[in-house]
Amino acid sequence: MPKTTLIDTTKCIGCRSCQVSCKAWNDLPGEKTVSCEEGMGYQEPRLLSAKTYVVITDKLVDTPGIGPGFKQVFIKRQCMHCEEPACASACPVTALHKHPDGPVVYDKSRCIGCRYCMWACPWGVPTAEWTSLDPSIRKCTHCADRLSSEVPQYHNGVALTGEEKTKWAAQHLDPACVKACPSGCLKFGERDALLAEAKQRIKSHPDKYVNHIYGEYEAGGTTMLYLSSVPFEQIGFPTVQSEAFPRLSAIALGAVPPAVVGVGAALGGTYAISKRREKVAEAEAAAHSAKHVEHAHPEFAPVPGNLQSTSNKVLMFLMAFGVLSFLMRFALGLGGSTGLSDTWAWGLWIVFDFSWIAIAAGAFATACIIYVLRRQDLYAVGRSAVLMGLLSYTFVMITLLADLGLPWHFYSLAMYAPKHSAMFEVSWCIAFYLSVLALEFAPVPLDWFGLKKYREMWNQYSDWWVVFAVAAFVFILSHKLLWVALAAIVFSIMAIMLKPKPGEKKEPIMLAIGAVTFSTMHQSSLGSLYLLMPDKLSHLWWSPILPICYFLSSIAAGIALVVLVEMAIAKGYKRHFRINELASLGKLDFWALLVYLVVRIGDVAYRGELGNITGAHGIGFLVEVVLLGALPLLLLSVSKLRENPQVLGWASALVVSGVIWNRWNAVVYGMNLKGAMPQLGPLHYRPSIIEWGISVGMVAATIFLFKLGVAYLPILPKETEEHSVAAD
Amino acid sequence: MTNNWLDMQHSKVFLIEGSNAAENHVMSMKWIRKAQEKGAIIIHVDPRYNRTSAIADIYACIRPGADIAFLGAMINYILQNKLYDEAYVKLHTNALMLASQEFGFEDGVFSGFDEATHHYEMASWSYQTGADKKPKKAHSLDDPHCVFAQLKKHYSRYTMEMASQITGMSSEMIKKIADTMVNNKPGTILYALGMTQHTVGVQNIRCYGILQLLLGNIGKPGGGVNALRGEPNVQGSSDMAVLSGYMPGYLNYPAHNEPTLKEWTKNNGTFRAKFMVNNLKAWFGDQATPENDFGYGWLPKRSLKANHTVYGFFESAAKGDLKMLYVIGQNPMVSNANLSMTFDGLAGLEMLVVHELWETETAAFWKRPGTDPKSIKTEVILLPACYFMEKEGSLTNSGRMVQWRYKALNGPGESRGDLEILDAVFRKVRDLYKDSTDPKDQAMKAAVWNYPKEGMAEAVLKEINGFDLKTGLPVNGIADLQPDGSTSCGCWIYAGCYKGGKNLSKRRDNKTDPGGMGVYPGFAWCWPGNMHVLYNRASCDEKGQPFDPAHKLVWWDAELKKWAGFDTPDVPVATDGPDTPNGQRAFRMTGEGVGRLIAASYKDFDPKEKDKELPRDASYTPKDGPLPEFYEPVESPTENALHPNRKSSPVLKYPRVKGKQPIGKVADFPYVLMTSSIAEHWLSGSVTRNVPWLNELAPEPLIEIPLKLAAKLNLKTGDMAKVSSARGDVTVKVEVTRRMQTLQINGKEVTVVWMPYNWGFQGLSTGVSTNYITIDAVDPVAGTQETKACLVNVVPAEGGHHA
Repeated sequence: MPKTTLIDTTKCIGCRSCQVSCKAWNDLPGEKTVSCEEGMGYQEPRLLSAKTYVVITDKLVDTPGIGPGFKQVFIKRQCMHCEEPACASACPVTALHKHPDGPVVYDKSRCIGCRYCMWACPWGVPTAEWTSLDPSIRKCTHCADRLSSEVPQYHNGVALTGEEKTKWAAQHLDPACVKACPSGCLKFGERDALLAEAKQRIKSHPDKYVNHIYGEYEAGGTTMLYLSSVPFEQIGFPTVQSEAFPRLSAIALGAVPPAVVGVGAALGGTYAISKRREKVAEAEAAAHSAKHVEHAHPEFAPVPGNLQSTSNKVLMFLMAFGVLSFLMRFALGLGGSTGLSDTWAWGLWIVFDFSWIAIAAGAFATACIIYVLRRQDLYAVGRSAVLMGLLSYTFVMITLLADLGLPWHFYSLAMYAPKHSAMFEVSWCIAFYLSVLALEFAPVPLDWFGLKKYREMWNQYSDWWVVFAVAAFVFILSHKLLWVALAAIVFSIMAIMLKPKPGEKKEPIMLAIGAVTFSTMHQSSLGSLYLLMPDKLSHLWWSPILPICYFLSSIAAGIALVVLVEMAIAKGYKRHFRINELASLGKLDFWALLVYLVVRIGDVAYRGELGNITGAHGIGFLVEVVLLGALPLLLLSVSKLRENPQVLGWASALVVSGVIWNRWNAVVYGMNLKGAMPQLGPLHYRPSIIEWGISVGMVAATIFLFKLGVAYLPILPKETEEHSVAAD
Repeated sequence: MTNNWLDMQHSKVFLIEGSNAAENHVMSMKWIRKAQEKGAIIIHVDPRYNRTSAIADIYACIRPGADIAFLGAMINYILQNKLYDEAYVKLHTNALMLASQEFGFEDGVFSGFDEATHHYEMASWSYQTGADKKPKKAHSLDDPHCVFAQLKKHYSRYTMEMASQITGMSSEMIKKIADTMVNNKPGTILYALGMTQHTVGVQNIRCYGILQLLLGNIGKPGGGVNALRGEPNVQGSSDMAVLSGYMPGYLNYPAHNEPTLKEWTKNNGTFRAKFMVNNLKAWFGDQATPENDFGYGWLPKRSLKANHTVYGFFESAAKGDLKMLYVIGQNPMVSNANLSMTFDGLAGLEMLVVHELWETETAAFWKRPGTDPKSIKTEVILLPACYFMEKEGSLTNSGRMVQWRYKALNGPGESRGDLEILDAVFRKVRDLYKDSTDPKDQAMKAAVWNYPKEGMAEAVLKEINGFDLKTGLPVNGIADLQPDGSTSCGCWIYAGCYKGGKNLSKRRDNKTDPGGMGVYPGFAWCWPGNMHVLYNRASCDEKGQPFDPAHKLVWWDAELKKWAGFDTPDVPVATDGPDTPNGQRAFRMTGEGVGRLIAASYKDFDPKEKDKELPRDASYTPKDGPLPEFYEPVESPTENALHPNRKSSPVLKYPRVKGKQPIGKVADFPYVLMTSSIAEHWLSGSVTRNVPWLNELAPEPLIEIPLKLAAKLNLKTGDMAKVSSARGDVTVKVEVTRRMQTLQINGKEVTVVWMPYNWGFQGLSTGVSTNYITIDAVDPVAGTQETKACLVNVVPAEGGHHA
């Protein structure tokens, strides 16, 4: 039976014995505080933190009638220990989990320090040890560790009898705060019994209490139950939905295993159809001896460049700065090196990760276009897109290493599977995707360096790796053998069916399907990360269909980035401008963007948020959907316009910016953060120089390594004479 | 406390005035909340809305130092409207006794006043007595000469309007509080230093006595006048003569005009002389004999002209009269008012011994910031003492409950328990006097001091309990004590705590509660005689039956022919029934045997006493008046509306040291400052400011000012302000709060500000000491300083405006 603490705020005298006893029991240090801050009164420290699990807040509430005209109300604030905790559902490694007796407890040995719990909690309870090099997440444990305490044999020099020991044990089980409370404000016991008592108290003194037990239904019910004499919104309690938060992401994440099977099958089908059409077309063309449209694969070759160029020097400088920042991050700890805080648990790095992953969607989008949709005409952009994707994802992973508080606990991800955590899904999905990207790119160096043996292995096993990865992913996520079997069967069938006939050149179609499948999953799940935050993220960005929006927007951004990269290559290497191919991509991007914008704006309209397009958030939203959405859509809609390199370039840049802006809004700008409980915020976030250093350094490294790849590996198609002339 | 902590659960109304119980006596809330759950009403009267106000049903803001005006108006209202408990008043108070014809009060002064010496001759404050030397009694309360009539006459001046003018409280509020007290009985009054730190501190509490006697609330469960005393054994140390005028058990300490035991007995009565003899036997053992007055002559006598209170010490030291000071468990360099005077005192000593946990501000006074240590000649010795958990001993709580506390761990380093240190010092000093023949050293030589190293604390408690010297066994109670020297007792009110040879303070029976009244007679031990509610005989009527049978505590059992009860009956002799004089002495510790509305000057003579010169007992009369009268604080923002010619107490002598004790004028110092301790720091903070968990809760000193003053001075919360008085200035942070109010006093606006006084320059949390600006005028009776009301000015500190 879960245990509860009933907190009757009408009885609290603000003595703060609970704060001190909490620190004593948990061995927490005293904080350096200052007195006299407007409106704070006795609230010391102001907020929960890694050093403070409990804080008494102090409110003066207006009361009419004889007397001073106000009433001072003290409220004990700490973790609510939800029945279905958002923090625990967010945790990718079950470091936070619900104890059967009620407390939401933390196991540091599992924690990777992603701090998703801090963002997931609607009350801002979990806090981090920012100043530590080995940081934990800290919060009230409801004294779960007292449950197993030893019972003393003596009390005041007198031996305890068996009965007394039982009584002592029962008393000692009380959380430290409850035990210390002198005024009867805190009562510990079974939830049902205390809920009944709370209702009885309201019934007996309807004049004294508001008819609301905070925590009875909030967030699906919490272990902490509150009674008050004044409406809860007047004493700093947010209005919280009655549906348990984990349910918000449970549906989206529960859909992943079937989606994997579905997407895989759909891609296989599409491929089969495309291939068949192609065959038919070829046959027809042969029959009618019409002019054969030959999409002969272009030859690829290295494009030597000047490594000593100014741009490379700048990139190397930025990389060096990045490396230095990376080292500083670990020397100073997260608190010392970043602008992050208990309010801003996530910041610039996450913005970079989110944006980067979205725009690196070019890799899977082009793979899909080229191989699945059989647009062989776009083959020339394939290698650069894949390399760009591979490098991008690699550096996202490296950035994550810096961002995680305890990256050396990464193995926890393989050991402790949570029920449904978007973070867990994204982590595994990206890991598998990265392996697929690496395999996609592998033939380039293998062929170039003539590593025939490995190339042969690639031919034989890469398809089966996809089958394995997909099945393993489904298993890790669902632990349901039915879905694992289905995924394995569907992908195995595809692998067998799509096996090249003898003499046929091996195409990486299975890798493409795998890439698209994994990308679909994690691009959408990045959106699912925010499903837990309806109270924090402005509803111009928060939506129950965030996963769909994120997926769709990533396609638009990914294609646009491929266009931009191609343009940059053409410009940088003074190469032929393949405007036809790029315009085709532009057209595809038009459709991708159109679908995305219809869904995005339609969703906002459907949820009735159009009327809330006001203030700073409103402007941010309008910039996103009009300037960086509708405008490029318009530019890409007309073939004449998109065939103009200038216009195409600008349109693509706007699309990419629009999606980056969207991610920035979700992580930073659209957040209504009030900080750690009792959420006095807002607090500002300014990324530190080290945060910028790592992010910019990673971007520089991506570009630099890409250039290096281009210089030493056959990434770019060979230029023909005709092309060179055209370029001049 | 007349009652005790658990007893509060029976109260139907609480008047908390002069106490911030929720902050400074946090555990009281456990019982107050219990009562509140049963419907009790909590009234909090305080100049500052604090955490006790937050839990009160009625909060009334009052000007600091105006309590007697408020309480006087309540008394008047109750008298005029006949809202008193007539049966109780007639039976258990001196209301019907006839006051002396000479008694009078005019223009702020009682009869018998000598202006030159600030002294009252108390003869006129007595009764009209009969041939038996007993007071004559009127037949009805309407008799114009009875005490009741005098009381009525005295308080008739305290109209609602007058009180409202003086206190700043509305008439409606005073009436509301009075009606609430009248309509909800039993009611209790809780107070602490907010009531005593005034130049009228004793009279403030006398008001409570009068009010509760009129309401019939004394002696009943849920009633009483309850002083909430400090946790570190304030009650126990008071019992054991921490106050300069007392021997253990509140026996008056021999004065210079009482050279012999007989002289002392003439002033104090034979009843107490018996306890004096027992005390002397405990101290001097076999050397105390009837022939040598039991060693009475060895005791140094206190001069009634000298000031032996804490403030007197420092003033004498500053003059060079006091050479050496030994300070235990006190940090006067933070907690004394007018700290500059205290500093001068410490600097004037030849030697200072401080025996403490940390190097307190007192021990470190010579290196006070801004002081050149070379300029200090005082030799300072700091002895490391143990914390309470590092030593064993008894502790007496406010409810007079003596509880044994065990040692939990050893003290760090060379620290030792207080008892161990005192024992070592005493033995060494005695050795040094070994060969002295000087009469003044004989007390030291004759003293019995042979406590064992092991179990020393328990041996001391045994001595306090007392022995039957014939059998060598501990006495079983006060009744065992003999006047002939055949018994000894270190503190008569503790006699019986070692009943049957067992340390009863160790008892922990928290299950047996025969009457269900929360008495738990088997839990520890209460003085006197394990009595939990003092004067509990007054909860019964003339026939000895409880006024409220549903909440009975004691009663006369006619069948057994003795007083019985769930608590120890507070009667002189348990078998003396209601039909005997002893059976009607509900207030047996007074000469009259009843509650004293007027604290008349009275000595009770026992016809059976052989020596007719010697009274049986003498009633206590405060030297500043037999009835509480409102006087303004020494530093007050207004005139005394009741008698403009007599602003403050006529008995008061201030300044005592010219030039060192200036009195601020309202023109220069327009605001009223009240100071207090806070929940988070214990008094001078010498312990608590070394606890980071507490420093976190209350990090620094501050001043709380009302919105109106903040607007006028352009101060915001977090700004720095300079607070100055005639004695000095301090700069602290400002908290602008609605909890402080501006009052209308005698037609003028009076602003009250508040500061905690818990900081000093030592410890983990340092800050300016508020007591540099407070006034060290003291209550003429108790010697308590007026730290609840002085005049200050507040100005924004230069450069103190925080952006």
